[in-house]
Amino acid sequence: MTTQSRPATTAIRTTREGMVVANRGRTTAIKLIILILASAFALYPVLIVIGASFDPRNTLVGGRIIPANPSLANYQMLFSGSQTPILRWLLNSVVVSSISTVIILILTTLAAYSLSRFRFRGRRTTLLATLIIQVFPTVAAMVAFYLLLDQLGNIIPLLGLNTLGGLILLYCGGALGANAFLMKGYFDTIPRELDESAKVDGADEWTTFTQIILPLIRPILAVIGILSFIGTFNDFLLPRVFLRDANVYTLAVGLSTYIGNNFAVNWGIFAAGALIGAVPITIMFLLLQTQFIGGLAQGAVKG
Amino acid sequence: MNIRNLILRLIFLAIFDALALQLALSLGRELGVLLGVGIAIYVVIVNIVFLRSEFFPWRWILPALAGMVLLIIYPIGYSFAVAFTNYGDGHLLSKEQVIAQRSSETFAPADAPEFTVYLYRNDSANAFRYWLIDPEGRSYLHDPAVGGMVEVAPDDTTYGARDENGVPRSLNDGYNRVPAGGALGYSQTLQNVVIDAPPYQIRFTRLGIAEAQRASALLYRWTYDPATDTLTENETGEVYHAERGNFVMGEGATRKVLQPGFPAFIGLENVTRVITDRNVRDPFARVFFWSVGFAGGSVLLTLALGLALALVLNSRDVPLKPVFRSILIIPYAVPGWLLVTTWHGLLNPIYGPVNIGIASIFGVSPQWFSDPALAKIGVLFVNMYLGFPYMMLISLGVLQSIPTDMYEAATIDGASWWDQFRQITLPLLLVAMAPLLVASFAFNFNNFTVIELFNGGGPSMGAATVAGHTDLLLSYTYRLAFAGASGTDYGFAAALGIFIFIIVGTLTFFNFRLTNRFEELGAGS
Repeated sequence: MTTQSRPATTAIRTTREGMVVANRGRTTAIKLIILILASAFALYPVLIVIGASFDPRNTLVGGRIIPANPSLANYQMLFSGSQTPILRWLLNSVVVSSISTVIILILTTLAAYSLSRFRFRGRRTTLLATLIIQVFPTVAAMVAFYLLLDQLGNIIPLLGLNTLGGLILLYCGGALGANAFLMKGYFDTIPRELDESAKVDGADEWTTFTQIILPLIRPILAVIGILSFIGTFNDFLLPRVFLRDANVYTLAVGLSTYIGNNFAVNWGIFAAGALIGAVPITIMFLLLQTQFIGGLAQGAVKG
Repeated sequence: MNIRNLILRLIFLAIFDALALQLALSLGRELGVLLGVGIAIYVVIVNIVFLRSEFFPWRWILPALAGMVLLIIYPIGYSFAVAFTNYGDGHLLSKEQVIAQRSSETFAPADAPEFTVYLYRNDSANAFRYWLIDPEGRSYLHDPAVGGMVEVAPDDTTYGARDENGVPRSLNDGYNRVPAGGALGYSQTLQNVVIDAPPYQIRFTRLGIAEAQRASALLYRWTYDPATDTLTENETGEVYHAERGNFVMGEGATRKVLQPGFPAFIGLENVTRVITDRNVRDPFARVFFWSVGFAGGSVLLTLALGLALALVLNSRDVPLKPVFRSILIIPYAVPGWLLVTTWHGLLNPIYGPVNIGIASIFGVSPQWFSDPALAKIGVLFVNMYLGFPYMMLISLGVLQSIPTDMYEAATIDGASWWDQFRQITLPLLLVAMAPLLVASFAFNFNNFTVIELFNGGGPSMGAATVAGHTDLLLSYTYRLAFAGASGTDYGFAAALGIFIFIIVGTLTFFNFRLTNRFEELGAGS
């Protein structure tokens, strides 16, 4: 039966493909035009910013993608430090994101290891709790965060309102959310025979964890680390609410406050400062692209 | 377990206990007993877990759990508590602070005695003593180091020789009388001098050039009675009672309210205000519907553009696909705050390049930031720009997972491209992407960054409210709590926050149900 029907199918397919070939040139051209237009749309604001950073006129008025007299004047101004605290803000962002990321990694790795490896009473409840708290958008509790930090600052000035420490504390509080699940899932894929054989050889739990398991989870550590770093670096809401003084601003809040409505007079320096901060983040993101897309597609199809 | 290990652990626990209990004590004092007790319980749990081996697995989880409880569960609970109060401007100080503030107020009763005062100064000690004479001619000495007033008999010479008016020329211990005109040089110090002479307190009302100064006996204006929880005005005899965060007296037109007030439980009033108070109801309704519209519109727009581009990218005959894909991801990869800020500049009605382009084609420059409708269109457009790559990426993933033989079969049946898209691609795509679309809705419902950076929630809805035409519930909450020109309203802001919890929480909860996230918990156990 199958062998008989095959020639017929092939015949139909050939005719249809013949018809398609005639149209192919035209549709391909249309598709290309769509993609080129879309690419121009996607790139336009980014190119404007790059162009502005090399435009010594330092204004958006009459701005073009390729400036008339390109120079490094804006970057020189930025690094001379006399104009703005932009480098200070960049440093603040890097400090906040790095410390938060390290703490988040330590907290989630420890918790996820236990949740993956040990069976104990309350384990399921803990997992459920970490899932439930993800349901709530905690930023909506900003009034409570504000008052909590305000009071905490009276006792531990390092963690109060208007401090980088307070911001880091808030970021780390949410550590045990999606990250713990991601991490636990990864731990689950590592065969338990590995730790069992280590234990047979006399290693205790801590040694097994640090010597055997930790080296194996480097990929997921990198992914969660970079995700946390990007997330905290790009966050605007928490620093906007909790940081009030210009010298503790992060880059996102500092730069957006700096430019305000002054596109006519600060645009070039803004662009240079923003690029110095944004380029590494963008590259990190693009390097992780496969991770993002892989994960996203998996999630999508699974659903 | 070896001895060295045990000792190290005990030392660690001792240090931890000391620090954490200190924190529990001070946080408990500042923020309420509940938090202090909570931390203390946590400390006890930590000690048990680290000393008893059967709780070994918890040792790994406790650090993260502490953060979760302190910074997620506690703030959510605290929001609930604040939502039932009128905490905010006019009710910021605690009741104790309000009473303390009142307690220092004084007034001069009609029959108040006036004192004649001579000043004595010890220059090396930079200190004063005071010789007071009351209207009946009795003399008193006040030494700030001792306090109070000591009556001095007319014939008492212990303090030094008297002049013709019976006033000592100088006091012992090196205190010399301040001559005429000398008091003015110390006016700052002398203005703050309070001499306790129950029931009066004596203050210098004004300092003069003459040697003898005048001081008035004043009375405390308020008396607080804890038993009845009332403040009594001592001059008029009015009694104020505590009611909903203020001390008040009388009813109707004669009602008097003392400001500032203190936070008080007001029940569901922050909720009922949304229904009964027109100045709250109108902005709230508009903000709520715009939040839904913005989130829904953002999902639709990003999905439409992202899916269209994914379909083009997924076709076989397009060259340079990886290049295009990388370029089209850019708006997703570059930090959002930078791109929204840039669009804010590009759309500037006067010199923004995009608006100049629009003006040269259509002859008008759209007022993106002052016209309510255009502001909404503008912020939706910018959010579409930021979000379409995400939809494109996940659409691509789903498209690639649809088996090609389904299309082949459809082609054989004579289905057109449009039929295939409607009958095969779209249903499969929507089923697969539904959870992500719901998540995207929830995310945009709270997309503070885009709203705040595009136009700060503006244009304003008017002077009666802090809300703007593009404000989402979250940015409205933010403005109510922190950024309002008309002051802060923590209570109402917290109530709004809870409303957001409920909406987004419900959405996410059903989304987790949809994706079997809860069932997955059982896996691996």
